[in-house]
Amino acid sequence: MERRDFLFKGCALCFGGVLISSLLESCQSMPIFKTTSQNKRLTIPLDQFKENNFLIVRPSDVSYDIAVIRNKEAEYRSFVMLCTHADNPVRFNGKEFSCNLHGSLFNNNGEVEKGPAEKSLVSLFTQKENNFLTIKLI
Amino acid sequence: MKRGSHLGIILNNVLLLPPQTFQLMKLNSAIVLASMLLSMLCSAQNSASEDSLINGGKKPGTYLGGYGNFFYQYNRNEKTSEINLERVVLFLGHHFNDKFSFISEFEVEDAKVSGGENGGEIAIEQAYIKFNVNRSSYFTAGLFLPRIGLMNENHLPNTFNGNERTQVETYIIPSTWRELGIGFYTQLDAFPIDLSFAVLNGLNSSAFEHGTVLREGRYEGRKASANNLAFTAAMQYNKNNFKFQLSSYAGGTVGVSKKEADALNLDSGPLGTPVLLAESDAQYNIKAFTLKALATIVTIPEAEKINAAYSNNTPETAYGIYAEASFDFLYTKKTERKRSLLGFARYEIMDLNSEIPSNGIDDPILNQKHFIAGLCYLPIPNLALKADVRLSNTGDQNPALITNPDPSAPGFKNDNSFINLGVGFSF
Repeated sequence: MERRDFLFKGCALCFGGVLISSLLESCQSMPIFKTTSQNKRLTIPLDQFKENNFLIVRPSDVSYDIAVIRNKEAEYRSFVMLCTHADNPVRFNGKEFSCNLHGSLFNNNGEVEKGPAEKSLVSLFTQKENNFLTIKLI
Repeated sequence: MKRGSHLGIILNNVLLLPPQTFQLMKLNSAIVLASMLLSMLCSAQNSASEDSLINGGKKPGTYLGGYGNFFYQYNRNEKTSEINLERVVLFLGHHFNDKFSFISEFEVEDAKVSGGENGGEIAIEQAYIKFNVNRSSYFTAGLFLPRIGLMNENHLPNTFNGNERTQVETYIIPSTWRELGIGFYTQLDAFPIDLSFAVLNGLNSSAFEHGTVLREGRYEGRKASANNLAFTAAMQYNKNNFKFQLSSYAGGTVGVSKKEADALNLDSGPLGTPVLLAESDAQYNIKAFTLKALATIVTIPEAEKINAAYSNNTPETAYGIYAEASFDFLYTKKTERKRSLLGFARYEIMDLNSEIPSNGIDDPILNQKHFIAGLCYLPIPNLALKADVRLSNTGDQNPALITNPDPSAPGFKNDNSFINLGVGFSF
């Protein structure tokens, strides 16, 4: 086998293996919770976090999604899923937020990891009461 | 200038003004324009700040941003060095409402464009209207960068290692590759997958040049032929530490009339005499380590016909592969992580004429390997100080391609090295 063929086939095998294993892992769908705000507040049952440490909240009367993340201390934080650079929707992959428009990256605390964004994601006031979370919208 | 010298007279109901007045008017116009720009800068807001959100939506507003880089390069074989402001790009965007926005990038390359001199470019890199269908899907219409490879869409200098963009994504995927058309982008709810599709103007095979595959055939929004079209599609998977992408491009390269195409023995029509490109890339990140790899191949099945028509030595196949590993020496577990010191190494292999048609001439110089290693220090995420070395190796010269040999030229060397020092920024 020529070196070029070996490189092509080796790379293809590596890509294929990693891709298949990751796709199998991702068969679990992204946790999305659809709701509507009342008096500029969102109420989310805590049982939504049974299987994941994060939840994408999609209010029908708001033009953006909100990511709610539970950290190791069982504290909840909520972030507006819009890049602080040019308002493009960001994608949360379970670990970080990424914006495809110019490549900004934010960690799961909403802080900038890669520019061009300079400001952290907008954080929303989030409170845990009994078995519910309340998020206060701007 | 004396104030009195700008007074005019009225003759036959026409106001006559002395030439100095026009100079003053030009000066005043410049001041007014500068003031408008300044006021625009002052009124431009940072997007998605708390102030820009209202009643569950976004306020209309204008934002500004940009990026740029300059670097010094030493060429060991030539024993020459150069320093260049490679590019400065300004973003200007405007949100009309939650549904519509305008996004643009204005670029100046090599600092200056001067008549009659080589180098330098002033270009609109992007200018399009974005229409949000819903929170996870949108259309783009205008001049934009389709999702192909890693760097075409995200090419800010603080987001990649090394002063130079990768060779593979400069010559095989000609980043930044923008064309006019309509694109559709969507995030799947059920899976961590993003999809994108675009219909664009095609390429111009008459402008293809030896050694650059399809790069010189791009229209980039300038009087593009709409007789031929191109289609692109990309699938991006992004979960936890792993990101994977597949993308493809298929586009016609003959934009001339059918009559002219027939005379040149070329296939016209939307996908006539096509260029096909396939690309795959993956990124894996765990703590301080990041691995990246990309492979791409371009095929031009009717390269023989293009060569017969335009004598530009178009190849049938070109390919490129690279892999890069980087490590952040300042990585900590702290949540507040502002600074990075990235050490990286990248290996690139490409052949810009791996297969040539029967009427083509092989150029082994286009079979290249590059090893790049260096450091990239980011005191803040928006500013990168870079130092790297590129060792390059090419195949031999083909004497048949040297039409006018220079007897005083130094002997050809397969190996060369470049030392690069530079700065990149974005905001």
